[in-house]
Amino acid sequence: MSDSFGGVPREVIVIPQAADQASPGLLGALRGAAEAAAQVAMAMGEVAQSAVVAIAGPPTNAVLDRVVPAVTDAILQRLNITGIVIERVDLRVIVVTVLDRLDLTDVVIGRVDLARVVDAALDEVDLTQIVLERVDLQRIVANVELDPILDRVPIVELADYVIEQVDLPQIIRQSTGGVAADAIDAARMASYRTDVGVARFVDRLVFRRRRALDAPGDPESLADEESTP
Amino acid sequence: MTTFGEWRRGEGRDASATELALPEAARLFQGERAGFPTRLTACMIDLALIAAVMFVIWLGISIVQLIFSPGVDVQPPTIGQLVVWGYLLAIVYWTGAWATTGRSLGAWAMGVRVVNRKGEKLSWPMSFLRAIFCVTFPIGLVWALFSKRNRSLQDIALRTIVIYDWYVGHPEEAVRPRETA
Repeated sequence: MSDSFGGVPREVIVIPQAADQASPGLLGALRGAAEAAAQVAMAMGEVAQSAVVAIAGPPTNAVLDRVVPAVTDAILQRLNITGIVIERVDLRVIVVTVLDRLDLTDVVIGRVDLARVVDAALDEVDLTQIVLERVDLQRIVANVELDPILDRVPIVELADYVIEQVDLPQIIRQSTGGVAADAIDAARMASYRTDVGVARFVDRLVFRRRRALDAPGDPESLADEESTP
Repeated sequence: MTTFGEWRRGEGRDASATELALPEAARLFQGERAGFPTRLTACMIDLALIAAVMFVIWLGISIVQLIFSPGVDVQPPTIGQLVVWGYLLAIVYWTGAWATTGRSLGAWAMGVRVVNRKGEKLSWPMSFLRAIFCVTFPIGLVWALFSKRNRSLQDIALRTIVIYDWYVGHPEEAVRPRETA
């Protein structure tokens, strides 16, 4: 055990000196004895010291190693640390101090997957409904510059569409066409019906299914032009 | 009803701009080859017009004769004169009508127009040839009754086409052939 302390047991060798050899007389003998006693005392001190280190030192650390954790654990088990912290600690100060020291924006940007957070938030939220409820659309529309939008609208096409859908030419014709125009239209129409009827009759006579009356300029009809009369 | 988006993509657009100017019923056959009865009627109207013009000319000549030589006996024209004058007038009239607007008065009344195989109006030489052909061989029109494509012999020989065309605006636009599937 003493090795682990580094304390090496010391051997004390007492060498008695002959009084008569060193200093003749009583004084000399006393002095020699006193010196020898002092040396012995010093040696005894050293031995005691090393004995204490050798015996008491190591056992103390071992005891502490065993006792301190057990005691601490026992204390901690008997204490409600959370309660103590909540009761005794000014958490606000701590939080404010921490927040003062941290750049929270940086932390969030660096550590948080913002896209996922935003996605998840948008999934949860009916944005259209929120806009409808919270946004003053009238004000927004009132501030919109209309000219660039109108530049993109095919107005002429739109007009054509409207004209076709309401059949404006027909309305104009009906409101302005005179009796003569009506008579001509009627005559033409009757003539066309006669054409169709006569053609059908002739076709039946010659066992033809129907005539090819495609408009001129059509490539297919031009190709057939040569072969059929 | 067709929405504007559909209309823009060409869905539900059943009439071209030209056809829109026509009565709805006539849009269906605008640009089709005209049948025999219509063409015959148009010819008859033209012939009646030519006869009327000849009568007016004869009347004019007679009046002039009576003014300058009051004693003269005004004679009605002979058959030979009528035929020759009628032929000449018809040739001139039809040549001019077909080469300019593509239709004579009779054709206008019946809503038909003469075009070439590309749908364009006839050139002057072509009009002249067709007029001569029609005048000298009018019976050729009867073939339109039997032809699969309503073509008279004149049409076959000269590759002309008579189409329904009620449109009265610009003839160049009006003779645009109808899109066919």
